Amino acid sequence: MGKPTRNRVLVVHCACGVVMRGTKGELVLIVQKHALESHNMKTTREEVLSRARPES
Amino acid sequence: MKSATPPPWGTEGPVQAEVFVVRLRGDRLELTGPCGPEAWYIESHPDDDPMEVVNRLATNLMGPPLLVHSTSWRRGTGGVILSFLVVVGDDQASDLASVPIGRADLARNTATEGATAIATSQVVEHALRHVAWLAQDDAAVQAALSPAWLAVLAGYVPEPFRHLG
Repeated sequence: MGKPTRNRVLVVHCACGVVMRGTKGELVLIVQKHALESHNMKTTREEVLSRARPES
Repeated sequence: MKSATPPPWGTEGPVQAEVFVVRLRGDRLELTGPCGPEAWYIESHPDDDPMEVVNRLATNLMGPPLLVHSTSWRRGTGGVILSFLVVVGDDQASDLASVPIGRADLARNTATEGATAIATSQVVEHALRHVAWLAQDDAAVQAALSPAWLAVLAGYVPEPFRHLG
């Protein structure tokens, strides 16, 4: 039986090389912060999650 | 050094800043920055001043830069890519990955057409030639750079702002 989805760790690889990890709620905030602070980009929760992949 | 890769999300603004962060280590220039030695892409929204955005983000992430200057432009997907050279201090952002900068021939075409293909190394070469020109022509730039920096730039053929592709 797999881990509950809520606590599953997801990963987003930014094209700049930064790798961000966290549960769904954590990851959205981490990626949004990185996108704004490093790339001046505002990203939606949906955009972040569409690029998230389960950590292998 | 790899070719420029697209940013993580499509840009919506008409201008995207492509930033090369350079510092002097010993007598060699090296590329570094928040994305390591890769080009650092920053979105510039319609109401933004690209120069201000690059300066602000560079300051926030690495501390105040010594020099911020736009050195070339080219057409990109959905808008214009404005290339910037950001010079940081020798001991600034020293934890960020870096690579030495090699020399490259410039991308060129006819007198009325931009280059059809351009590598990242050619953008950096042109940026350094541009700053070499500024170091001779602009007192503020000359004052911002150390004698060691000016000595390294003397090895670059000066060249002003130009359209690269």
